[in-house]
Amino acid sequence: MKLIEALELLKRSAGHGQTRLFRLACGFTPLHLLTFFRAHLQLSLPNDRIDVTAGLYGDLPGNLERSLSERERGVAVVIENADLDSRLGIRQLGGWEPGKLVDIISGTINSLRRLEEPLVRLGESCSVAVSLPTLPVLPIDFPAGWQSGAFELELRQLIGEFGSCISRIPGVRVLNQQRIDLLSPLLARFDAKSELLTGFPYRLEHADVLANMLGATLVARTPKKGVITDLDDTCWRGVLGEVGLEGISWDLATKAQLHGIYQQFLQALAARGVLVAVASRNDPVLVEQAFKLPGMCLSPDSVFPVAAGWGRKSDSVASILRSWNISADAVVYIDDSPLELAEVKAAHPQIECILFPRQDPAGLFELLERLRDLFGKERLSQEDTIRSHTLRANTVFDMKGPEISPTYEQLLRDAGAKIHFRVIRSGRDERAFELVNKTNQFNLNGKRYDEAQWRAYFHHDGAILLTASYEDRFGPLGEIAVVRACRLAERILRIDDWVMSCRAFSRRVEYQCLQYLFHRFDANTVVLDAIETNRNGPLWEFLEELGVKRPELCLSRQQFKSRCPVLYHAVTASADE
Amino acid sequence: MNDLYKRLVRCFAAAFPDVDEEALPTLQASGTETWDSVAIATVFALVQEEFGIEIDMPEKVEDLESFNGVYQYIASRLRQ
Repeated sequence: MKLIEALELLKRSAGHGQTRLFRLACGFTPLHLLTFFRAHLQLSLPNDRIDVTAGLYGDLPGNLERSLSERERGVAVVIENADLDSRLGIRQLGGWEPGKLVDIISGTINSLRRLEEPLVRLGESCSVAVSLPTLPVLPIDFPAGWQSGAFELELRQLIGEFGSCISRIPGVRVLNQQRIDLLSPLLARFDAKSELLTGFPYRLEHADVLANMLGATLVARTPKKGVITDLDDTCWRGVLGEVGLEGISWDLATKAQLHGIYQQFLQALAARGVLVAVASRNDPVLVEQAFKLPGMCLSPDSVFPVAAGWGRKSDSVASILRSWNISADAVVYIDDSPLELAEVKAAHPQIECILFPRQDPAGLFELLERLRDLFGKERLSQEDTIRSHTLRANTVFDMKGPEISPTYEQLLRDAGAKIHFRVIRSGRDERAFELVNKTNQFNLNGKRYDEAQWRAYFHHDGAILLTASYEDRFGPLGEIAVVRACRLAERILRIDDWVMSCRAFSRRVEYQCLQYLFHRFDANTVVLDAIETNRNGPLWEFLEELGVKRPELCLSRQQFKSRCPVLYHAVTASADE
Repeated sequence: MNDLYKRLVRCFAAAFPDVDEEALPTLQASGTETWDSVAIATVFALVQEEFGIEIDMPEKVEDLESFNGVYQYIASRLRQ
């Protein structure tokens, strides 16, 4: 983005929507970084009015402290070498003699310590993005420039350790230095003239890169959930139907390593909980055999379902989406054929279609970087590691129609289902926050929250978070339901948010949630803040089954009891008071 | 209206979003509340981005306290 584009964007967007308050905390004059930061946030949140405050010049720790007393949605912290010790900048003349370098290291250690504590406290109340120093270290070490001196190495080590330490603080995210290096060449970052004249040390291009990454880090983007891949000339080199099992390859010896790297990446994605499926024009028996070939990096256990056949790719994709029970906009489709990509895109416009770069190593790494961005997650949960397994098990429960049939009832009774409820008054549960922000179908009202909004809810007296974890003889599903509620009156409970993963459908978990809430809070009535969205049909079907009427949206304990089917779960509970 | 003039008006419109576009060509530092150090730095950065010209500072700053001053400065630099 150019500076003029950023300013024009902000001019056009001024005054629309709700105000979102952010802070840019740095020790230098924020100047154009502030403009770019606002503009990138505005692009990410087009319906809102973005307001960014900055702090005082030369006082990064103070600016962080001041952030603690505000109610910002997010804080971008930009650290530069001069914030660690003013002698690492050019606006103060403190001396660079070799004897002073040790003192600069001591100053740096102290400065980093002073930054850590407010970051911990900030992370508790809002999202924090931290940019570690990006400007070149001034040539003050005594070895020649082609050699690293102990001073420079120690400085980098201190900054690296600090970054590693703060990246573990909940709510704090550190910008990826390697991505900054890729997008902004080191020589094109520092603007000495601007630094001397105005106290702003960055060239415009570098400010734009940093602002873009800070914005992307602060404004949570929903990661994609699934990848559907082609096989021939994608997962392996060769057309299986033509060359047979002996003819396909994916290793260095056969100059087909790109395909092996791609397989390895898909396998890693699957292990992180990304759904991986195959849509291939192939003989299903041959495909099954191919997946059993020695050395295959993508395990057949990680791929579900495999849609191999001779029909249209778009039909295979449609059937995979049904199996996964997720919407097309959460999915990426990868194929080496532009024609197949176009056919899938035409049928499923919301799917992100990506061409596999055959015989193009550089292109493959661009693809991997892109996939990393699309599927990137803050943290991995236990649920991520069991997702694929759960999907397979779900085919057993996928008997929606005959739910009232004796067979289905027997299945539920014999499933050995266990539900564990947790009441969490602090609201601190990353999985719950994630689930509320990504669930569409069984979702009370479709509301999404940023971290600050989520945490603010639990400042109210009587507000609670209820989570439900489920397992049965087919395996664990992990934490699959979340309720946020508060007591309206002595025996009246209001449910403000309620989501349940589609993986837990057809198991009567939703009934058990209500039963538990009535019992645990000794409530006579539950009021539901239900809002119809384009996608929460399953939630409304459930409310209709219970006889919940609009506009009251109330459910009495008596009414619930009269309509609740038999529940077979063994229930346990705990409370984090 | 020449190309340089139009491009400079666009820069000033971005740097002074609260000023009517018709008033930009007569804009002067004196009497313009928003013509502060941030606005000056923004105009200079926009000129550098748009015309590839780095404005020499601070020697010329007195000549650059109006739209017309900046226009004349860029025109002379482009002629060099």
